[in-house]
Amino acid sequence: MTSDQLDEILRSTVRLARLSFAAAAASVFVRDEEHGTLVFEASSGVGEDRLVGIAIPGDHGIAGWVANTGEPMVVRGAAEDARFDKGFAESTGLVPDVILAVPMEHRGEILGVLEVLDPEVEGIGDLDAMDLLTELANQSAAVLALSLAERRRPPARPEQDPLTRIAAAARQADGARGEAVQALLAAVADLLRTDR
Amino acid sequence: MVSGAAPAARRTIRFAHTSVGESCDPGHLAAPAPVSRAWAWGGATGRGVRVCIVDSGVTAGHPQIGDGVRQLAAAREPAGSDPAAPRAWSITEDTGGDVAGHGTACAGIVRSLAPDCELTSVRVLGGNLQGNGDALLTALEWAVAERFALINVSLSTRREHFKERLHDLADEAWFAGVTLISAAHNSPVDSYPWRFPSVISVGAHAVADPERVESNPRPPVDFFALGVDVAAPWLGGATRRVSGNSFAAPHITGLCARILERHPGFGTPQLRHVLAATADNIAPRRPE
Repeated sequence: MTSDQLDEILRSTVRLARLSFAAAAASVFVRDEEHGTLVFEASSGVGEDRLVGIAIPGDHGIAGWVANTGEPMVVRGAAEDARFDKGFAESTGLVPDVILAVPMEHRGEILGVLEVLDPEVEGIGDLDAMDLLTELANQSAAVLALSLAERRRPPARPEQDPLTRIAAAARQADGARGEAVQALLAAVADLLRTDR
Repeated sequence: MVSGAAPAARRTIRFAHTSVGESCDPGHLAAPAPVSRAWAWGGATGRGVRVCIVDSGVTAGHPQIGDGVRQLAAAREPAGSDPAAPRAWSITEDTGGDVAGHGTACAGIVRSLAPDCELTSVRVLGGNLQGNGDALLTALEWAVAERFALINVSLSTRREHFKERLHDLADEAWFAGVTLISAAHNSPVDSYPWRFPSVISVGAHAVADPERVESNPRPPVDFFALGVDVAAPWLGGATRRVSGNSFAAPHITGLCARILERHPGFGTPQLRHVLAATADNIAPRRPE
């Protein structure tokens, strides 16, 4: 899977999450184990242009709790609270009053968090809202797992390529051994008719 | 639909470990008559009952919690001379407070039901503890060894390699008279320790009554308690309204603290039975 394909799927996920709850915004955070952070991978709604690529601490706040425990939650009342640290939220252009956050899990591993800001859950209820968003997150998590596995796969090392290894060894050979190697390579070149 | 007809009732489809409002057969209770809440916990405030909150830490001095909370954290011991050697885990005094708000909310919910219980917090999140089952296991081992009457653990792990050790620990707690109360994972998956029969497991209902307890007729979740739109303390002295199974568990912990004040000899089996016998969803008994 290419990076563009993953981006497209995650963009669709956040749009669907936002549409489902008539929400002000929705975002996907992906865990970066190496740096201990959560990285915005896709966002829809207020602040979407500014968020992608931003990293936040991986073990703090609502997203941090969900990313580390796999337990969803809904938190209300930030807007009524004058003491709420709105710095980060204001930098995104949105100070949410309600946050609905669920894990993106695949085969028991929590890969990230799907968060919906200011969702409309009247007539649905928080329990059904969490259930619905969790299933949506699970669907994307399967694709995300595939992509992350590809990202984490180490690139093929140049020295594993047989021709590269032969060239390196040939360059290091000297004296009579070097002459023998050159003769052998010339014979191989003739055999393969490299002049044609 | 015919114009003017009442809309059809919405069908409830739920995959999560949460209440669908079922009632319970009184034939499953080992009691000849209904058990009264006045006998179970009437007038009690949890005085003298030691409760441990294993969570994200607790904000000290929050008006709804007070100052008297001992604060500890699971931590890895410093590396020794051999950097490759595994570092042991231990419980240390903590000044980190709450890193997520979740632990403060859980402590506040316990306090709201049992205002006089003794609270201790063991933080298992933050400071590079993320996602670490070792931190959870270390915290629970310490709390069981310390013989807390009640341990609230509103989190779980899905990692199978922790299952056996957590299972042994839950059994040890059961035999030692230490009651583990754990939030059921929201999704229909197995995680630990809530899944073990020696642990009182809790999911959420949405009835706005903090003392409402539903006994679940369909295992593995034991009980449902209020887990929707719960007013709870949060970071920085604030208050939030929160929803999730993890906020249902501390309601049961608070009620158990009240029960233990009145009946200090009770362990997990007695607490489970009293909660079931006083549950709000027991169907009427048939005449003898």
